[in-house]
Amino acid sequence: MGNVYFWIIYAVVIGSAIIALEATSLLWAAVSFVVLLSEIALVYFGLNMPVLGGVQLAIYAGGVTILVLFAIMMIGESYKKPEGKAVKAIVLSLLLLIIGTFFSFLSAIDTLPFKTFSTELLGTVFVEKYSFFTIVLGFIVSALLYMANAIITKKREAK
Amino acid sequence: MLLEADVHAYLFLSFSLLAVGVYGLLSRRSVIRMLFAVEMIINAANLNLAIFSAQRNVDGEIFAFFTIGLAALEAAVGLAIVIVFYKRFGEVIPSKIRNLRW
Repeated sequence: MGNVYFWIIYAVVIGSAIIALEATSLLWAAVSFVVLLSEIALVYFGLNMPVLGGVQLAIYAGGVTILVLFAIMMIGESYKKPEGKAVKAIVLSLLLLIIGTFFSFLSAIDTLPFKTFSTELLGTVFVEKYSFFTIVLGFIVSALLYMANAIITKKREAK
Repeated sequence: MLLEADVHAYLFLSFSLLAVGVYGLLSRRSVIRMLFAVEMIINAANLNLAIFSAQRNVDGEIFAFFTIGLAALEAAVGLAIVIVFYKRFGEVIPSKIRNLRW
């Protein structure tokens, strides 16, 4: 299955994910969320994907976490205990885990060896196959941001 | 290689993260924690893309880049909506948000 380092990272990832949801203080939840994202970046480094790991660290563990921290500072703690739905949620998520793991073992997922791709190949494929897609995606993102701005501006005018 | 695990172990990690995310999304009342749960689900999907990409070709890794960018955008827009709601109503409780009319 995996060596001891993998299972240590597994325990840290799942433990920090649970703490991020269960900690009573939102600040500690955010710290635990940073640990989770950094450990996932470590998994990417372990899979010989340093660029993806770096992007994960920069955008997720850096940018998104700063946004979340600002939101926590602005709206404060509004934590409420779950009301009766927790048991159903635990049962459903455990069912999802068991079924997913069972089908992943049952299906024809082969155990090919992991390859190492160079950054040069990554850049070449990105430019040759996905450059047009990136441009289209950029326009879609710009349109979304413009619509969000329009909604907020209309709200202000209505006031 | 420091991490030596086969594809089933990585998939187990991914499914575990997905399960924790689904649990958080269904049971939490705090919007920020729901956002954490959504990010966990997206990270589980990203892990799947990276794992299968490591076995075959780099295309999955490139899609993981796109997913990370869109997830950051989603977090920014989601938090902006949360802050607008907080300024308007003084509290952010998802079950009380019934419409987004202006």
